[in-house]
Amino acid sequence: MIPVIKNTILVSKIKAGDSDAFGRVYDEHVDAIYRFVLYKVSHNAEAEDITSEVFLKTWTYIREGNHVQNIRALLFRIARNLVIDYYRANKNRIHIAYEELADVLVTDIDSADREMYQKEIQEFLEQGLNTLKDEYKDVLLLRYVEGLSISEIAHIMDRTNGACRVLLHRAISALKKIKNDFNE
Amino acid sequence: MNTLKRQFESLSRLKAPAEWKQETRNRLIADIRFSSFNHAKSSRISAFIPVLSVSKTFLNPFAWMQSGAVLMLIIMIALGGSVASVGATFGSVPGDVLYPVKRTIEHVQIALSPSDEDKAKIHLDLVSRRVEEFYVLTERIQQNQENDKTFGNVEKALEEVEKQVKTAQTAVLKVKDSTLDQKKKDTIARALSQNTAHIEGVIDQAVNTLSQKGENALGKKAVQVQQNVHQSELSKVETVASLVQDKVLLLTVLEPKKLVLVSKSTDAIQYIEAALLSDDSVEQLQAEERALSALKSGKILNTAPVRKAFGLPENPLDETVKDSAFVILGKQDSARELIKKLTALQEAIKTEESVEQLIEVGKNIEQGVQEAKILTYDLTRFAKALGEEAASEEDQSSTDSGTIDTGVVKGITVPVKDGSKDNPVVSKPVENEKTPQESPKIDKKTPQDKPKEQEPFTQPENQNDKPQEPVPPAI
Repeated sequence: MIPVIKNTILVSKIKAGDSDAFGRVYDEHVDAIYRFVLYKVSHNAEAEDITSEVFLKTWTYIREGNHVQNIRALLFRIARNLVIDYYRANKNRIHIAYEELADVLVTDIDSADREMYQKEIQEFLEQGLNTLKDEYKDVLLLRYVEGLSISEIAHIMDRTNGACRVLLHRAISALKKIKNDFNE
Repeated sequence: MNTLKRQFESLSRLKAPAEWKQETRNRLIADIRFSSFNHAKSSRISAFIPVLSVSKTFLNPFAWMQSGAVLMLIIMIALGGSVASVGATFGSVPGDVLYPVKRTIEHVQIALSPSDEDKAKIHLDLVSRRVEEFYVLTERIQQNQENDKTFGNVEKALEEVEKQVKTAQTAVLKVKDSTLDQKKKDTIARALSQNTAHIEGVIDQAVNTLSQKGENALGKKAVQVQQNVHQSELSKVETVASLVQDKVLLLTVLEPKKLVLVSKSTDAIQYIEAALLSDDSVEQLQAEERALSALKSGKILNTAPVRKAFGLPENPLDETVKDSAFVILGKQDSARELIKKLTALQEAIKTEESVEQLIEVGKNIEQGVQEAKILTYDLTRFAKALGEEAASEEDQSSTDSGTIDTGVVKGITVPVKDGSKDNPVVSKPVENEKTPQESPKIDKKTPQDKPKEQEPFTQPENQNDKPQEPVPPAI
């Protein structure tokens, strides 16, 4: 089915109170949202809480009759706002052990390369991604981890497509620079 | 850049913990199911009340045409959109111009759905829809928006509910007896469980709304229908159980039922507790009891001076209350016991692991709730006779009308109307006087239904509170 129609049908089903339809939305996006939130807040339990709140809030938002063009973008947008709220409320963030996270991420890699990858990813997370500005981190995660389109990201970040492209470009340059710095 | 790309890719491999995902999903679905109707109490969460959005549509029945929805509607039906999706565009109720159109579309949908299983699912959705229509109409009455035809329409809506319940029942039983593969049966079971929880909640609320208006003939009919719905095959745990073979799955499917039972019993407990006689009255009764046994043994004469000497009111309580102190105290005791029993059952149902036990406990709870209603009614009556009402008029009257009449439940309000707490009180005086004699039948019916509303409020409400505040901007 054409994605736009699929999206519209889903939204109208949810508006009518079809919880099964919402269940499908959940199944489809929960991993991505969880990931996004986890990389932002770096804490398992918090990520779980925020993720479930994202879905509840999305349901409310759609049920209120708001116009929704793209459910995925809406989910990420709500997630992003909730994370911002979370930051505001918790100035002292608790950090996950990056080592553990990296360990989870390399579980399906051959044992020979594993250690190396793990170290690399740990470094990437700890010294690369997490040292970037929040905005940069957002665009990078949305674009390269979740594979969203520029226009979806523009929706989520509340910017124009052009501004998003520029932001993405700067984010990549910043990341590369940091990488070069610590590789030297 | 290559390493960067690879590293990003490895980041995307992360998945949410499977167990947590499933758990959260169940909770979420249960929350939104329940919030849909049982949350009517708080206006802050009015967004959760489908009826509101439905009524928005009916205020301007042609609104849907403006948004190019007609085209959308055709596409949706052509693509096999569910009943619910059509429902989004059609919020009409009996008596509205568009209502026949809505019904026609439903008929087409049923005719077009190829399998029994699809039909059963649609029929179940339609029951929900009929009940919602009934609710919207009762709401109109409550808001005094009614005209001459409204009552006729409510009656029509009620008949439609009954008809649809029967049709859905037949459709579901057909699926049950068919040789469909298990997965499909499971889906039906899930739809059945969720729909009935919803249906029961909505109809209870509607009957409440109606009873606040004191529309007697209509109210009685509504209670009758309500009871029929509760007793239909659809609402029985056994029906769901007979559809599902996998025991573990069945328990998750039955989750909404459990919640309903728990909240029913919670409410029943609250009613009895509110109706328990005060310590003063109990003391008085005990004194009376002692005196009576003394009198019966013939040692003392039952005269006013003697009674005074015992510290009793001048007239024997028998005469005013018509039941002797023994009986009243007995009721008080059994009320206390019932509270204990219900609390125990409630605990039991929360930890229930097998379906047979669930059915058993469920029955016990239903029974307990019935008893609770009768006891509450009796105790309230006694309390009044004992002059307690002066002290605690408000509690009394609210429990009173909650239990006796078609069910103004204490604290339960209907979405749109503010000042929920005042409502029952306002409408009470009328009911209090009439009901004791009039509605013994009604009294027995309502018990099972009302209680449900109370608990769902409290628990999901909190969860919903949070999400409400920062509303994301439109996309």
